[in-house]
Amino acid sequence: MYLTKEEESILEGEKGEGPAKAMELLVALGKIYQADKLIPIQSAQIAGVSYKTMGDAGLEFVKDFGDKEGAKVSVRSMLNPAGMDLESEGYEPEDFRIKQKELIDAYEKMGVKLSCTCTPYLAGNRPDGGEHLAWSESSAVSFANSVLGARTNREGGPSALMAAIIGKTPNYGLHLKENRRPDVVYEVKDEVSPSLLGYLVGGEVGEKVPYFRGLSISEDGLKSLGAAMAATGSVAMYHVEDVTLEAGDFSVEGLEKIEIDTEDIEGVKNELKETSDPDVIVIGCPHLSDRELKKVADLLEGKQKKEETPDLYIYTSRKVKDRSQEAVKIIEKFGKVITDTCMVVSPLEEKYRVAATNSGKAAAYLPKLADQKVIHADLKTLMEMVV
Amino acid sequence: MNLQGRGIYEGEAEGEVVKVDGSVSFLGDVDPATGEVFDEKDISGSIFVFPGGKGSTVGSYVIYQLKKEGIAPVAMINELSETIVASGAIISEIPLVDKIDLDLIREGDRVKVDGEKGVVELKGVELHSEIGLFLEKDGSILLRKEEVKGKTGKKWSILFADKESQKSEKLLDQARLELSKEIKGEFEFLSKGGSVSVREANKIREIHPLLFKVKDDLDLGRSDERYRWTDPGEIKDMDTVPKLWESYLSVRDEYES
Repeated sequence: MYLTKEEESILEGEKGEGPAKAMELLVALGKIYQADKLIPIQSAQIAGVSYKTMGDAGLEFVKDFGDKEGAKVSVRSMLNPAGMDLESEGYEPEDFRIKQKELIDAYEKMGVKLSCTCTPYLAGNRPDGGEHLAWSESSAVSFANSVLGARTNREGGPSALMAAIIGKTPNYGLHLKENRRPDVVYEVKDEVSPSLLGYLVGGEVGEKVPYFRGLSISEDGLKSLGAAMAATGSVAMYHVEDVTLEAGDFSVEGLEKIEIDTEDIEGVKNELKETSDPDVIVIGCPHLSDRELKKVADLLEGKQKKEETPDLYIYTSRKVKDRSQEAVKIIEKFGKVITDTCMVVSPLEEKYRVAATNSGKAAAYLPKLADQKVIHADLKTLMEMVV
Repeated sequence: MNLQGRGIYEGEAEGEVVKVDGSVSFLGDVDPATGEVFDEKDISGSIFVFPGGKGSTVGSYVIYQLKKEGIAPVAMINELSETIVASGAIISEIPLVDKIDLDLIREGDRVKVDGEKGVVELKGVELHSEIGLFLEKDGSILLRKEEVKGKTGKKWSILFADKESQKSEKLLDQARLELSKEIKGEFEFLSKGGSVSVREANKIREIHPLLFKVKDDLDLGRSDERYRWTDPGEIKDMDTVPKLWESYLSVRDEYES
């Protein structure tokens, strides 16, 4: 990989140990992926924020690194969800709060903006088409590439942080147009849940670029579809014919075609069927948009809460919550609207065993990462458990 | 013997191989408290061999956590490294080499890794060079049934012989000699493919495949029933000695180019 004189000097430590380590990591990634050079990025979105997933060593790493000379971000940088709502207490234990606060502080010290969300594009950072980014949250990466036409690889927590420090990323993968071309066509025959469709397709395609045909889908649907595919597979880019920005840029002639109908989706539903009753309902993976929050409120408004219901948690970004006061007020009669965190990266297992969700991504991660049995159902069904 | 790969992160380490066949999601598949992968194998202090990383990008910090706890692998070897494992190796300063044919490394092997040069040294494993001779006639390939050491039943194979010389011009002479010992006939040399390696016990067989065209009918002698003319496309699905299909592709591709 070609390095400019300035980049060489950073690697040699001229700007301190922090930028030198950051450059070392970017250069190694450039080598692996045969990048020709580093390119400037507009923003970074950094994973590795929840104390639950990071543990003490992750915390130590961020603190250690933050102490290094010159370890300051040089572009706009946001965070992935933390392990708790930063402004109000939840189901997390007290010592967890302390550790989580330390971790957040370590990022803040490096100049990272304390916006902890998996949907930065709904919380004040909506990139334009063609912008280069270094984002790490897999569902946000998928959304930025596919729906917004921005360009980012699926960065790791460390590589996003190092890119934020340098303000650049190696030029490879999805930064290059030719790698954004579809690999396989999915012909969707019936109207299906985007979340379950994503759950199914992600498991099949791995890291290929799927191209959907026959899918009529909203922006919120695209968000769920991409999130689920990035969880059961590692899809960082997809196309939907006549919907997403770059779908028309490539020919799909000669590609393998796979048909999907309701029967296939029923198969996934059966896989996610859990017979015991849920003790918690978790909505908002990825974080809810303004529209989705309103949809939840509409399903609850004016209804009577059942006597015995599972607890209800709605996860969203602070920005969206602040903008949606009316909906929040309605929902909070039935459950809690939580920001800065989500059901997967917060210690849900401290209090709950069986979780019901409408998210394909959450359904994929909750069993492993929060020790939950999972029930997948649509939003309406879930709300009927409460009212 | 040494396997040459690509050095991703520098450093030297020696240890015993713990190997898994599937991609690893360090967040979820590896327990950061015990160093166990897939709830069954302990990777602490090992040379951890796996195809590559997948899953959550927080996995890099799990590697760092293992290192801090003193239960990380001493080195890692991948078929192809990706961001999660590479970042984890770099921030944790664990030597990492990729672009290695993992079929050549076995669980329990004693291995030395040089992350700078990208070299993996398999201790006590020897290189054994062979020639493998494919005979073609009218689009078919001649296969024969062979006993395979340590295996029950016979496998479809071709004629193999120890490679006697390093010089390529002598290779052809040897090949013709080996052929004449087994089969009477006239052969025209078509191509020599790149080598294909197979791990067997404490040796790695480096097979140099050669393709010959059979000019006239063959006299296969008394052992006629051992032989079969086969459509090459079928080799892939037949019960053959290891990597016969790969060896065939190697000579065929060379011939076609």
